[in-house]
Amino acid sequence: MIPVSIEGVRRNFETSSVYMYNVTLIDETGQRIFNFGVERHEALPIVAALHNLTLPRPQTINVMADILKLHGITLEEVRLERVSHSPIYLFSTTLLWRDSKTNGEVEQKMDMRAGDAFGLSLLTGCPLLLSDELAQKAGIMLAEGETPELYRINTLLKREGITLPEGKKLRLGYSKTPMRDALVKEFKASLLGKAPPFPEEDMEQRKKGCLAFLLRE
Amino acid sequence: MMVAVTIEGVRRSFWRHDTYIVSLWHEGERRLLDIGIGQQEAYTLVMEMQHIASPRPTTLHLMVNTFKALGVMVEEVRIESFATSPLPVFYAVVRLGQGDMVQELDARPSDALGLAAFTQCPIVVKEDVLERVGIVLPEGQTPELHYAEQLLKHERIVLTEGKKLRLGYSKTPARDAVIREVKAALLGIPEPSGEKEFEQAKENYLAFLLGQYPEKGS
Repeated sequence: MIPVSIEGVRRNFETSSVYMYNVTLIDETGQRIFNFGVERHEALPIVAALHNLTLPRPQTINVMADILKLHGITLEEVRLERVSHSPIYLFSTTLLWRDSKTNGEVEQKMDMRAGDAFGLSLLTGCPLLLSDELAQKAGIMLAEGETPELYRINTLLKREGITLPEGKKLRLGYSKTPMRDALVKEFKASLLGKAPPFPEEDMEQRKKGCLAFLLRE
Repeated sequence: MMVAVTIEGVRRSFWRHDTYIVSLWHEGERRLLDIGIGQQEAYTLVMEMQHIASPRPTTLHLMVNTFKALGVMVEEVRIESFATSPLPVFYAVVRLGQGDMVQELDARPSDALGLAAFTQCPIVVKEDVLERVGIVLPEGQTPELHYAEQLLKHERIVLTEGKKLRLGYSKTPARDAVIREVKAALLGIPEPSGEKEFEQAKENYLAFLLGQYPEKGS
């Protein structure tokens, strides 16, 4: 099994499905990433936990993590074995639980959503592991000097058929992660009650905004 | 004091486009409490209530399965309080037991009610919440009829004298519409979204109610 951590969450400009957000996992070498689509309600608690945003109301996955913590049950590992895309996008997953009252171990095998697996691992602070098979299939090797953010940006530019003129550099801003930051800003606004009523409808607008920033327009 | 209620149904809110309304109902006292929830939570609730198998387990499925595997029981769901500031919001509490250990935890009403639907545990509402924001329906009026009349009022539509609302065979067209919506979503027909779709769905429902539409399959 390959230990991975959650590098960040970004809008997924490459698809028009319900998986409007992309969670990027990164392995311990920092050279291999894994991108998986998640839905908005799965992305929100992950972004909140990663960036210390306080959710005004706990999301379902927060409630689950809190209840189990109250009962002295800890999650020791989340193992993602396989991913199926057809007919339904799900992960075959094993959750390894330990009940502190009995010290008993419970292994739970089930198909679950990517966002739930990532969220649960993040909220409980337990290791997230990918099977060798899954890592092999879904892994993307970063080029020398390429960051996960740059990989996403380059993929977006390629998809949009945009080639940078010679000598022109991308604007990445101070943080060097403008796409990741944009989602944090979007969710912060959403927590203040300024959620886009139809996030799928503002995808094009957000993509344009993102490209304009990157291309210094 | 607590009042035991059941989930009467889930309907789409045509007042606020990102909201669905879950109606809690006390049959004997004819008391109704409407709570707004999100689309995702509404769909999960409807699937469970209508025994519609979900090909893609939701987070609630995960939670309930995990509780089962670990011996955690959902004992009761309580609608505890209601606040109006900064936004109108209900607070719920879930009571859980595992062996001798009993714990209570705050949750969104949508999660709490979802857990109740999955586990068949009792749902109770604090009397003062019902008094503040619940209503008592007169004899002969149903939650569906109340919903329809509220929408007409909101849309400033006044029925001409003698004209009656069409409620169809089931008498619950708005509730049925959400069930159809969930089934369609599971068949891969895109879930409702977007302002245009929202307005269209509202128009269709109003046209049906007002008898301006061929009646089909309600």
